Amino acid sequence: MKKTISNLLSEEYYGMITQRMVCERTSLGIEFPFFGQVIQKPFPLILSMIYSFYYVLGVFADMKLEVKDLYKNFGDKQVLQGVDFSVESGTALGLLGRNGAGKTTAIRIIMGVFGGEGEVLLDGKSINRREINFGYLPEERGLYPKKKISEQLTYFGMLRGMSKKNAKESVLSWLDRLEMTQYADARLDTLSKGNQQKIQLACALVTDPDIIILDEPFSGLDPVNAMLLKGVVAEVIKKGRILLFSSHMMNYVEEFCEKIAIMRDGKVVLEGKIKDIKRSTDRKKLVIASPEAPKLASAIGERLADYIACKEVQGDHVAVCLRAEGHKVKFISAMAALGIDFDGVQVFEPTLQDIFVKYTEV
Amino acid sequence: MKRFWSIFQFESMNYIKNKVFLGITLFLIVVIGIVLSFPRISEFFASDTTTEEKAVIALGGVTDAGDLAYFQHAMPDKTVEMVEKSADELKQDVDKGVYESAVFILEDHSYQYIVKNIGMYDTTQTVVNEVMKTRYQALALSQLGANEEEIAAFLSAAVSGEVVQTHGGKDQLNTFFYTYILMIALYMLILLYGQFVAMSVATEKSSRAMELLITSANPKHFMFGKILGAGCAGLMQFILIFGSAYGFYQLNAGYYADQPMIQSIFNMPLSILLYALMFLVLGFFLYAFLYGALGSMVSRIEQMNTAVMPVTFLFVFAFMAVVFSMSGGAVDSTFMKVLSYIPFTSPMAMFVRIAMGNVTALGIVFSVVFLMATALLVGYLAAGIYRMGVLMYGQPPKIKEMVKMLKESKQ
Repeated sequence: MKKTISNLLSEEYYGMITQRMVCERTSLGIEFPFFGQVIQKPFPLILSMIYSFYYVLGVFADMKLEVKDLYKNFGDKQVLQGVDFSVESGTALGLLGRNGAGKTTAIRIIMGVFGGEGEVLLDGKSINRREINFGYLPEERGLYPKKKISEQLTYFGMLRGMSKKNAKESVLSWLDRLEMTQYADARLDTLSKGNQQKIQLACALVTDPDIIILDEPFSGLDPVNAMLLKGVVAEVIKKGRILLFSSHMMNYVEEFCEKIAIMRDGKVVLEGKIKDIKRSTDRKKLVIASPEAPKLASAIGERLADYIACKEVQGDHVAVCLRAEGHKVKFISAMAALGIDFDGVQVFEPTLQDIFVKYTEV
Repeated sequence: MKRFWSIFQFESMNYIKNKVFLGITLFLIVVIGIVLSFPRISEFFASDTTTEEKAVIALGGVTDAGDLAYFQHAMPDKTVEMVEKSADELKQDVDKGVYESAVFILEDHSYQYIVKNIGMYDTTQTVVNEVMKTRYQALALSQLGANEEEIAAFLSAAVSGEVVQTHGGKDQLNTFFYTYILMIALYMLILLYGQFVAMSVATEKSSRAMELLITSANPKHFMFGKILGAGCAGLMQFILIFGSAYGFYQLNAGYYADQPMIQSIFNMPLSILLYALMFLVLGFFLYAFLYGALGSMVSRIEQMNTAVMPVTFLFVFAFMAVVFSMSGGAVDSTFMKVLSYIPFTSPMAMFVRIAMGNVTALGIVFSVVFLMATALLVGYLAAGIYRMGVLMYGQPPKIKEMVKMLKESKQ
């Protein structure tokens, strides 16, 4: 039975070994990479471990993908007008923006489909697309509708540099992981939309790519399949890959992405950690949960009017806007002194949806 | 290179594994096999059936036994019967099918040929005409006092002639058939496989498989891999069909000993076959590049036919011009000379001139080099258009926009 070296190393290390560096143990001994060459001799296990470790160290260092000052025009149309963002391995960047904001163009420039002004850097150096493997799930889904699934996935694996044998093995293992093994010999167009989507994801991941770009991976999936895919995406991030995630489904973005970059009219209008962005917004609005919300609201209006600029009752909650952020602690103590029961006070944070709308609305 | 090889393999396998491709190739081989083995097959069946009855032609009117002998001699595959019936009676008999046709001699130089159906290749009347003419001439000579021997000598006087052809000249009658067949093959393969290339590109685009393909490997590799894959499949089909035709001919060669036309086809000079292959390959590349580039321009399969129409028209025009010149025997006319140096028409025009006309070695070299250079240039431009075109959706771009795209793709 074939086993990857990952069996010898921890799960996390496995995540760091790239496709080309996966060592295989064969019945003869161990195949492992040596300065780009695969040596196929029965070396002692210990020696192979040393070499593998050397490789693991080589890639273990965090990778950072940076996009700097991208400009692109198609004819007279300026599609990108200075796009900057960065993403590190083991994290996901949510690339957001309305339709036509330039996300796909930026993605295509990163993948080298066409050139543009500006730089795409990996660890500070201009990216070498021959060495780096991309996995891409385009928004406009597309594979060969009339071809056998395993056949076309193997073809895509080979197009991205895998040997036929490795590609076949990887395809089978991905189909198994996505519970699609029974469709290996089916034609793509015989599958339901959700299942086609899973095949599309398998296609993106078949080479175990270093940089993964997923454009709306969750559209059209039922909740069970969405869970399955969520597991896979989370796994990929945990493995230390770089993930660019583009979606209009903000709940998924919040779930996977530590950072976001919001694009508008070919520019990044907001980039940063979601947590920081939320914290950086005006924190003068408080939400107070109380079983006696109307009573509390009128008491605040009568006795604490100096602190607040506005108030509103929403069901069991009272929302108030403080005149100044510094009034927060004083206001809460004063409110507690009112003697009206309340369950909790929270600074109101905008949702990602609110942030998105704020930055992309015309 | 490894990726290019993967693409090439995938694309050629698309054809080879295709059931329609296999079916048509096999069907053509079987048809050729049956056609070429026909004499053998019919001989096999002929052994147990009696010979077909000869059609009967009635001879009536002002006539005698001498005429009967004349007519019977002139029409050995028919039975000529002398009848004592009027023209009207003969008409009725022919209508009823008693006789296939009837000749009713009115005077020495006038007759009625009574027939119900006249076949496309029915030569009976021509023969009757000839017989009547000879009969009249013989009659006239005898009236002038010539005896029978003299008349026979006059009427059967033979002229002996010999064709002395100078070295390097062509016999258009002998070269016509194989040139024609190779021309048709050239035309069919270039047009068919060129359109397959366009179709394949358009399918990848409309199914959006292109989005993934173009991010997985170099677009140039896709275009060239696709064209080479289609080209190889086409060439394979050509070799299979022509090879099996040659094989069947060799098996049945004995039956074609007295068929100079069929012999001329299968004994064509090797050089002509090699020229055909060379022009097939070069012409295919030139047109496949154009088809590939045009295929990359369309967003949906339905738009493809309109998009490739100009190129198809150009090619059909080249074919028609060359075929008409061939049939008229004017393969070395000024028009053909011009066509044989224009790269878009030269694969067929120059080939026909080499096979049937007179063209200098320098002329051939010039035409081929020009064709190659154009194919390379078109390939280079097509790769640029393809690269930009595959990601464009919506209305196919106008020529002005295409030029702009080309400039951008070089940036």
